[in-house]
Amino acid sequence: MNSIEIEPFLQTPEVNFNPETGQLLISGKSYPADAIEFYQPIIEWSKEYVKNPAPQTELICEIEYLNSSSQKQLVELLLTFKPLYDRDKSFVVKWKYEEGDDDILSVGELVEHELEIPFQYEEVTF
Amino acid sequence: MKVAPNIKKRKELFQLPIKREELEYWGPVNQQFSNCFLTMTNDFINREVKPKTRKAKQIFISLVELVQNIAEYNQDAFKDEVAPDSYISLKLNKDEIVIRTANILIESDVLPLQAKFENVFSLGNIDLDQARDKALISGKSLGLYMIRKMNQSIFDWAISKDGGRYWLTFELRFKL
Repeated sequence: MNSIEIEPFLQTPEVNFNPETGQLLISGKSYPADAIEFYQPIIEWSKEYVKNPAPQTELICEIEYLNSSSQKQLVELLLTFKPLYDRDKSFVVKWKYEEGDDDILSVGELVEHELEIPFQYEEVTF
Repeated sequence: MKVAPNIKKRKELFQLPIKREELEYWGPVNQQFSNCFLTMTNDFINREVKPKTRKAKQIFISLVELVQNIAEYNQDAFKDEVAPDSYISLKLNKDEIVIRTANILIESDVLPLQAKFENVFSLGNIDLDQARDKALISGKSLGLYMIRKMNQSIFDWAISKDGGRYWLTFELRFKL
């Protein structure tokens, strides 16, 4: 399976999903008008990935901005990885947010609670 | 060629206002426009508000939600027509930033939207948190809940009839 490598653009984040290492990175600003168009290919890729994952999977979400439609797509993306956790595969979400940004932090906490997926939180500087 | 002085000279010649402290637009708003406008406003906010602060992010993401919502509504409601004229303004006052938007509603949407906004804007903090959480997982109006939850801001709305058309207006004030 091929990697996903998307360069950051004005309103969309960097995406770097490597199926060999299990390192999956989303980083930057995400406020496209059509978030579905941007995230659906990534979600489809992830559905395939969980069928035959790397020994350890680490999803790193390094979020600066999220509009409402990106938030919803990110929830859908995270949901695709839930089978890994349910099947006792090594899986963790690293939720990195800007220092003091309680809005982004609370999105992570809510998703962690709702989906019952383990999150590790880290404050960062963009 | 120095572009800025030339623009300034021409504006003075034609007696046009130079408003460094305001971004204002009045015209068709669709998805392509909203992309361009938001890129421009990001620069404006980073210039006028201390960049990389939570407040700058809140102002910007509020504007993103309001402008993208207008573009989406115009696209859905006026499918085969040119996007109707809408209004967007981002103004820096002495101690606050004010965002104002206005867009035309089709008549059949007026009552349902009125009921929806009356509900959203009547929620107390606890109910608002719950509504936001529910909308994030499987609901609608997430953007409105996000803006309403922002601290140190005043958010208001109105639906009014003017010139035979219904207008939805939002006003959002952030103290600086």
